[in-house]
Formats: sequence, C-alpha cells, structure tokens
Amino acid sequence: MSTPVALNDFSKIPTIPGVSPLTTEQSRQSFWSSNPISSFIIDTYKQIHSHRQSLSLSNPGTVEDLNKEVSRDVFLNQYFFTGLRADLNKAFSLNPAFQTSHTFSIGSNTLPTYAFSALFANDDLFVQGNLDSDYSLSGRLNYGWNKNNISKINVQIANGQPSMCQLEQDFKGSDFSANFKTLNPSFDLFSEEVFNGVAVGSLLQNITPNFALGLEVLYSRSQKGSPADAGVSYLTRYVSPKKDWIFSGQMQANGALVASFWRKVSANVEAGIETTLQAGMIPITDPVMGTPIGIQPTIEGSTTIGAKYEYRQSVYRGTIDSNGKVACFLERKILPTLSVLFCGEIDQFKQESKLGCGLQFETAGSQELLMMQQGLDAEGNPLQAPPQL
Amino acid sequence: MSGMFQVPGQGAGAGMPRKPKSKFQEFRESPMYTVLVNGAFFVAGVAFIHSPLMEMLAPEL
Amino acid sequence: MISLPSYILSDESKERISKVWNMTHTIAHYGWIPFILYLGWTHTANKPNLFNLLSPLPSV
Repeated sequence: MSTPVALNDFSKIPTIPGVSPLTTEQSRQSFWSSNPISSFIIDTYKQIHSHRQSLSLSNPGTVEDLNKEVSRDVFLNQYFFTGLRADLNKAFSLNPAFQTSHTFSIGSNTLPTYAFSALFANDDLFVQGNLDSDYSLSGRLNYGWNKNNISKINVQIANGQPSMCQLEQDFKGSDFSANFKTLNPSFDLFSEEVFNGVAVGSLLQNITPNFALGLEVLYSRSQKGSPADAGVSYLTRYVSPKKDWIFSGQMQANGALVASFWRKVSANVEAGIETTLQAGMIPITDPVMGTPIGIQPTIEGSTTIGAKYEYRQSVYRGTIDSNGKVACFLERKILPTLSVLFCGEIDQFKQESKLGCGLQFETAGSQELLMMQQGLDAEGNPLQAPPQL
Repeated sequence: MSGMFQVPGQGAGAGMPRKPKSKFQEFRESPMYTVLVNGAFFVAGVAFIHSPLMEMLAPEL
Repeated sequence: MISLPSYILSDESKERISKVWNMTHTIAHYGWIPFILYLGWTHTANKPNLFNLLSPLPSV
C-alpha cells in the first residue's frame, strides 16, 4: 500500500507514462492555455520569445537613421547653404522647449528671403512649423504614445503647388524597429485602384547584438489610372562591439547601392566615408532622327570622405568627393549669444565654387534664460558648466 | 540622298574611319570601371579611417 | 475612411466636399504657426505677449 499523498500537491500524483501533469500555466484553466493547439502556438511563441531575450539583442535604431552618423553628422550636405544669412533664435523656455526663429537670407537660390519658424517640444510631443516669405508652410508633429510608439505627421503646403502630407508610424521593439509611412494617401474603395499615393513599410531586425538586417517595401501610384510601382530595398548595419565604428549598406529599389562607414576617431573627431553606385538606363537616341532606338545601362558612382571636429565652441566639417568637390563648413561660437557660420565648396573638375556666410543670434524671451546665456543661474551666480543651448 | 531611310546608326559615322578602341579604353567606358573605382575608393577610405593615420589627424587637447 | 461610389455623389455634395477640403487646407496653412505659438505660450511661465513672441529682439 502506497502512502497517501496530500491532495493539494498535484505534482506528486502518479501519472500515466508519457503524459505529463498539468503545468502551473495549464492549471490556471484558461481556454487558450489548456487547448492543445493554441497552447502549442503560445508555447512556441514563448520559447522563441525567451530565446530572443536570451540573445540580449538591443534595438538596432530606425531605418531612417541607418547611415545617420555619416550622412547627417559627419557630412555637411544638410547644413550647406549659399549666400548670406542671419538667424535670430529666441528661446522662451527650455523645458518644455519653446523657441521661435527668424531667418533672413540673400543671394541663395534655395533659401527664401525670410522665414519664421516656431518649435515646441516636451517629453512626448514635438511640434515645429516654418512659414516663409512665399507663404509656403512646412510643418511636422511627432507624438510619442509610449516609449515604443511614435506617430509623425509631416505637411508641406506651398502656394500654387500640390501640397504634401506624410503620415508615419514608428514602432520600436526590444530587438527590431518597424516603420510604416504613407505619402499623400487617398482611398477609393469602389474602384479597382483602392489606394493612391506612396506607401513604405520597413523593418530592421538585430540578428546578433551588433548586426542588423532590414527590408523596405515601397508601393506607389502617383496618379489615378497610371500603373503602380513597387520595389524592395535591402538594408544592413553593423555596429562594432565598442560602438566606435559602424558599417551600413543599402541596396535600394531604384537601383542604388550605398555603402557607408563611420568611425569615432577620438572624443571630438569623427570620420566617415560613403560610396553610392546608381544603376540606371539612359535611352540611346538616333543621331539623325533624334528618336529613341534603345536603352543602355549606365552606372554612376561617387565616393565621399569626410571628417567632423567638434569642440566646445566650434564645429568643423570637411568633405572631399570623387567628383572633385571639396567642401567645408565651419561653425564657431564667438559669444554665448552669437555664432558665425562659414561654408564653401569648390568643384575642381567643373571650376565652380559656392560660398555661404551666416550669423546666428541667440536671444532670450525670459529672465531665467537671459541669465543662463550669460553663464549665470537664476540668482546671478556663475554656472558650473556652460549652458547647452 | 538625305540619309532619311538608312539604317539608324549608320548615317552619320558610316563614312568616317573608326579607330579601333584599345582594350583599356573599352574597359574605361564600361560600367564595370565605375564600380571598381568606387569600390577601391571605399576600401581605401575605410582602411585610411581605420588606420593610425587618421588618429594622427585628431589633435590631442 | 469609406467614400461612397462616385456615381452616388451628386455634383452638389462633391462641391461641398471639395469646399471642406479647401478650407482644411487653408486652416492648416495659416493656423499651424499660431497653433504652435499658442501651445508654447500656455506652457511658458512668464506668458510673453504677442509682440514679444513675434519680435526677434530679446524681451527682457
């Protein structure tokens, strides 16, 4: 005769061989966990999830920031301007951030003569708007629902031009980032062409703690009745274990291959290189008739190498590219409230040059900020660290 | 004859003597050249940025 | 967003839709900056007046 077992201890009840007793999960009597099919799916999911957790992968960053370190930090393309400009920034408060800015410019083909912009940002909301002298508006609004979900709206309205509206949703998982965006979407459920506009979905997944692979799918139909266009881009990014160098590569749907490399050389020096190969087709025209008689594949390539030196009072950027362009951008804070900008570019092959000079004034809209700009705190005592405005 | 009804591509250059292109020139005009040159630039650039030469360009403060 | 098939919509309602759309467009165009300024103004402690908000000169 066996010894009686306490009834509340289910784990000691003898079982038929091959059939395991209910686990604590199963004994909770939920339909989903006791049902063999769904429990198999849930278990498999949990297994994969715990395996994913055990790999201790981190978030790879967004697809948009894939080669941010090179193309937006080191290179000066997005800072470059021509002609003369003056920015008058006025900060009203730092937390939440609220500032307005007036930009005057002459001698530039791209910058408007005057633009007013306003910015407001707190922990989960970012709103920015820019209205220029041609009455064209560009505005953006980002709202973070929680720390993993960000919705973005981007609007551009110009007089006499079609306006542009882009809706974007960013999702950050523990080891992947997904993004969905659509440009000028319109729906027509009762015609054959349900969706018009551009839709882009992308996913970047960390495979190992340092290596991420990604995919971007694009679908576009610009006008009703015109054939739709679709494409897939492949992305990859490798961050070194010490995070001091990054390699990223893209194979884009339009036939471009982009490889970039970034390295933090020392605490205030960064260097980067980017190579772009763009494959395309050019039509061959008949020399006599001028009619197209065929197409010829071409590849255009360019390589840009650059460095950025960042110090407390100044930032220097310089690039050289394989098409013979040498460019630099210098930014120096000469007073706590005044910075000077200089940028220049020389095209050695075409014998062209561009030049830009600018002044940036920082003014204060409140007493506290005015004192901070002069290196004092609200009571008039000197601050320990220089203000990061 | 205006050349209107000739085979396209034969009209203008047909009369001129065509110089035979050398192998190198042919290679220079092919898309492969761009790929190789830029590939070499990229590899050289990465090697340069990764080398101690780049560190020498970073001033010690 | 579900839109009705185009043959159900009368010309009148089509016109109304395009009028509403144009109005939204104009409101977004000229209301965006005032909206940000208002948002900032309500969150700033010293409540700067309109002239201070718009002038580039330091207001203190």
